[in-house]
Amino acid sequence: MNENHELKRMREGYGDAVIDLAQKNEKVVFVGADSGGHERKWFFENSRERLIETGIAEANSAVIAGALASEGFMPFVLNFAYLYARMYNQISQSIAEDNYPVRMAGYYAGVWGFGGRSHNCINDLAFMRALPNFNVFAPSDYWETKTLVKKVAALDAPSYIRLSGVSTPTVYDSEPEFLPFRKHKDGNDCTIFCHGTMLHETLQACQEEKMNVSVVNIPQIKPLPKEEIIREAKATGGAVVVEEHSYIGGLAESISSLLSENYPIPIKKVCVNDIFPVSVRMEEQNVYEKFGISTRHIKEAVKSIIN
Amino acid sequence: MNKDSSFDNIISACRSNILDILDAGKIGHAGGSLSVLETLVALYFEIAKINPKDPKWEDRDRIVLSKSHACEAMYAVLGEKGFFPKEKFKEFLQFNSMLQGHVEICTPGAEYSGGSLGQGISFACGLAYSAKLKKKKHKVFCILGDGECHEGEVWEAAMFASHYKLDNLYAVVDQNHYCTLGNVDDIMNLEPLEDKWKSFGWETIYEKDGNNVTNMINNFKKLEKISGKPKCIIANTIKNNGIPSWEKEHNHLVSGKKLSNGLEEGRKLLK
Repeated sequence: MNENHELKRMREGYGDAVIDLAQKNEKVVFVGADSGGHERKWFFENSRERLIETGIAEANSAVIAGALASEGFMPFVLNFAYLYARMYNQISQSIAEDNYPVRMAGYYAGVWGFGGRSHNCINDLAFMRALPNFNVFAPSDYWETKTLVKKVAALDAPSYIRLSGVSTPTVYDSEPEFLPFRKHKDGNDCTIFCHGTMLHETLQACQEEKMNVSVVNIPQIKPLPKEEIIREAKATGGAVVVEEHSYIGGLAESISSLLSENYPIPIKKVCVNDIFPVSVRMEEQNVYEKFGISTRHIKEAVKSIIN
Repeated sequence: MNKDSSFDNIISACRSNILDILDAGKIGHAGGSLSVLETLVALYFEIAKINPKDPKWEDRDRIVLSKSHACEAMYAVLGEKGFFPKEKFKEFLQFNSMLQGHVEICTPGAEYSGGSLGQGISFACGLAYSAKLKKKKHKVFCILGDGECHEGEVWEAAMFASHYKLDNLYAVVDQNHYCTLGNVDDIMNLEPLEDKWKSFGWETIYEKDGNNVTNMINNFKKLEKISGKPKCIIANTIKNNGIPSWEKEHNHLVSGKKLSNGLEEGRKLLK
């Protein structure tokens, strides 16, 4: 565990991991629609023909990635999370239907971004989860992002990785082993399930106030690690689900649905409301407080479950 | 027998196949299938390097039917070419059949699962780019509808192909002049279509009789000599070609009484 919580961008972890894969495997290609950062630069400088640039034509980029995968290449597609909605029908028909292993990642997922309502995307998990054949992941920091990039590279199926747009506190201090369900803290009163930026917030809440709760990080949103979640629900009998995502269609709704059918227990959601999040400055303070997903909201949710 | 009349025989056999497939499914996209048939015959019986005994042969030419609602024509030609037994036509639209209501890769010989328009041409671009990356010589052919050219993605793909000088990519626009609800240009004017393709950097031929197999073959051969840019044939065709009553009404989908009358009419003409 990383005690210093150095700030690092998930985007950097993504790029570092993709470059590492591309150096080892010539089948790795990068498909961008005027998008990408240092990984794009690496392809541009080191393997120009493996950088497939479509210009600002996201729909085209998704289908071209599907075709490249059908020919045995390993396409990585990176763009704003919100633009996956723009590519949705293309992803559905030209990637998901035939199970082409295209590795997609979306940044500026969550409430925190200066782009405003068009760009800050809190429903990407909802729409990406709804695609048959897709695997959906959400890392909690720079290090876990690297782990997940390796995970999706090894999958013979399409995938989506959700990335925050801002520098976030590191939780790990090196690449953790891939686990779809990772327990960070043991407790008896209830279990806090979370992913992404909210893992750090949850651990922070537990430091601010002594709570006898379990904390579980779920970086694999789909397929959900069902058995482990049900086992955990049986052990503590209450759940709080925390995510920087709309309460519609993300981890909270997934877990509610799973447990209502298998082991109904009280559940509280600490999620963003059904809104379009406005612009937020990078250096803004108390951002999560403004959107209802701060340590305070987590602690209150735990109390309401226990009482 | 000269080559032209041998193509006549193939066309008749394939048209008969289309009618059998429509008959089995009791519904289908007859119009766009009957307009595009000669293009598919030109490709599968003359131009494209393919092997029905080995549909996934690495060096085969790839044929992407972007207007994949014209699946009856595709199945008719693939069956005639021997990719699968013609008895399969009976299973068109049956639950879990390999002959779906739009072309999908579960059919031997099909390269792309379509349905939503505008995407096949992007997919073909990706296949053509892949061939270049692999330093392979095979070609990629993509067939679009004219109404399909309303889709913005077609032009995103057209830009891409030209930018990367994909001279292994051939597009055919099956210009049968009708989309679902009426005349293509009345619904949304596409003209000047030839100028559009040319201005996007494609070597473009306008073929005024796109229902003539020999003309289509000659066009492909002419384009083969061009390098450094993608190539396009705008094939002026007749929707529902060969079934006069359907031709008159420009039907997109046929079923019920209209279907049975047309089948009878078409079969008489084939005798």
